[in-house]
Amino acid sequence: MMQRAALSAGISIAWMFIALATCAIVVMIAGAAPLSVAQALIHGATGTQYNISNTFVQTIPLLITALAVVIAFRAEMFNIGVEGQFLLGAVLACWAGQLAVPGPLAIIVTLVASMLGGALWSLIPALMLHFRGVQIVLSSLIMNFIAVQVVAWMVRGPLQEAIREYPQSDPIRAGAELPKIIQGLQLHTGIWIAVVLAIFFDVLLRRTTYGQYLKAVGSGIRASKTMGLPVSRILFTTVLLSGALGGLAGGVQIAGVTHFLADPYSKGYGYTAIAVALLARLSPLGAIPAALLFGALTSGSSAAQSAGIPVVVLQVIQAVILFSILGARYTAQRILRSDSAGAPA
Amino acid sequence: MSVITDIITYAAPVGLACYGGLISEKVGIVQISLEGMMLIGALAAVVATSVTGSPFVGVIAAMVCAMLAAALHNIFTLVMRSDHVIVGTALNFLAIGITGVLSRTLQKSHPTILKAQSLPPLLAGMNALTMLFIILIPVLWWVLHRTRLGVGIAATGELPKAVTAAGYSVFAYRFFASLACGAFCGIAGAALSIGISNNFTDNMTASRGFVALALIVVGRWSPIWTAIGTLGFASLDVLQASLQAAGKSWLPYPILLALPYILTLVALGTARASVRPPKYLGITTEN
Repeated sequence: MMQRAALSAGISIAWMFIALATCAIVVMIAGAAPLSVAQALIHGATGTQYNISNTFVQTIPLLITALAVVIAFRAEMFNIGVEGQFLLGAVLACWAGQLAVPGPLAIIVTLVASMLGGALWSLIPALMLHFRGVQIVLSSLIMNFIAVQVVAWMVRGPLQEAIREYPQSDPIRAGAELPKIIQGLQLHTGIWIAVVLAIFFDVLLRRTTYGQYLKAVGSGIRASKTMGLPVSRILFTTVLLSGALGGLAGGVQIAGVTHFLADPYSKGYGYTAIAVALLARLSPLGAIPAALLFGALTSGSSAAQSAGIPVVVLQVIQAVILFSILGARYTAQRILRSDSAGAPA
Repeated sequence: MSVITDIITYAAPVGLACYGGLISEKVGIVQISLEGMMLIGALAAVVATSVTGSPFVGVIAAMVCAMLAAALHNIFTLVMRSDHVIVGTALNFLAIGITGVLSRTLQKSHPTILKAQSLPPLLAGMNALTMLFIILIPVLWWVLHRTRLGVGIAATGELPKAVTAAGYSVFAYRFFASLACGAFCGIAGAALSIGISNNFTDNMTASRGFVALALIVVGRWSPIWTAIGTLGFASLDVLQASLQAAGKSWLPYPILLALPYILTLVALGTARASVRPPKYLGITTEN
């Protein structure tokens, strides 16, 4: 048993080195010194109080969108439309945040609106799956492209600022903003929402009937149907839940960081979320450190840019991390299997 | 250029990527990274053309580079049997990142390298790749539906056990079909970067690879219907562009931009009534 744990740890470390070496090579191709880039990345993520705050600020939308991906992927529902759901959440939050709602209710109304926005956006793929059997991976992706145009239209039409100068919306009312945690820094209370959600979904997946259903459906739709589980209802709910989470991430971004809608609005959080969720092996709690890592990478990459590294390197790093995880899983499986074949446990 | 030539020219990159995706899906591989491989092809075509001065070499380079990406996809999906969607997502990230890094680095040392001569028009304003898109419609149909190879490809996606039982290798069918898909995506990228345009810009495929994926489903996994769908999509694109140029649009411009996608979605919803994908599409355990 100890040997196995040591072995799988060794495999992970070996793959980590492969990943680091690959990243270093890419950085050298880009014409920079890997060490100074690593230094710039680390400084950009943790060097100053502002940078640390920025790392957490980037982590928040990544964590919430990653939870959206985790829930959906658990059921083998490849919702890669979290980006679009994020955008629609932001649109509705921006609209609701400008309503005259008294006191603390304003925040709640704003966030609930964003969840509705995301859920409605995922309702279309959910309906298409339910009634026409269209794969989520396609429909949800196409919805992303439409969402980008919806935002573009909103900030030039219905939600454009009153003076109609720039393609952006008016800010939401101060009462609808999520409070800052430390005066003078960007870090906002959305971080608590994200962490509480991660814990909530961990419990939901492990301790409730719904979680067990999801597990069953994820490991085999046909078998689950034979077992008499309400498979299509579970899938439908899961897609909507995932969409609501994606929308909430957009709402939290509006209420916590930007306070208004602009075009383009997302930095691709919904796509990075896929990498985060997979790095976390689809565990809600695991998504916390995974999102933190990618938050730090995002925050650090702006600093690395000044060290002469284009931001697109971040995408290479994401890809390398994903490929390494897949590689590590494969080698671990192979080695552990041949191990147990030799000595049946 | 006439409107018809315009439509076919704009349809070609999407259509060629569709052919690649079609072959891939027929043998049971979900190819989410048509987009990424197109992007790699687009950059390779421009760089090779710019270096050698020959667009023909550019097209070959695009094919080779995209096939390398497909080989990476193969290692992870066919050898390691990882989930196709996850591998495809990673490959897309990689393609955006690598092309971004390489194009910037190359441009720093050779400022004009991202500009290249376009493919020359051959017939009625169409270049070789545009014509290839049209010629391949019947050819691909014939190969897929009237030859032994086509039967093998279809069987690999529908009933891999039968392929094994008949003494053929499912692995080989999948491996080479996937490489062919890479080659088509490389050509598709070239059709974009040295066909329609004459340079490379960041993320220039602009989700055409994803549209291609949807159009395969809309076209019911048939080369003919997929090509028709692609032409329909391209007509909307051209219409939208000309409406914008003329400045007489009764719809807000962003909605007009979204229109091709909305209609693709509608087509996706209606096409599936009577068709289904290859049975073993995306199943990683059967080899």
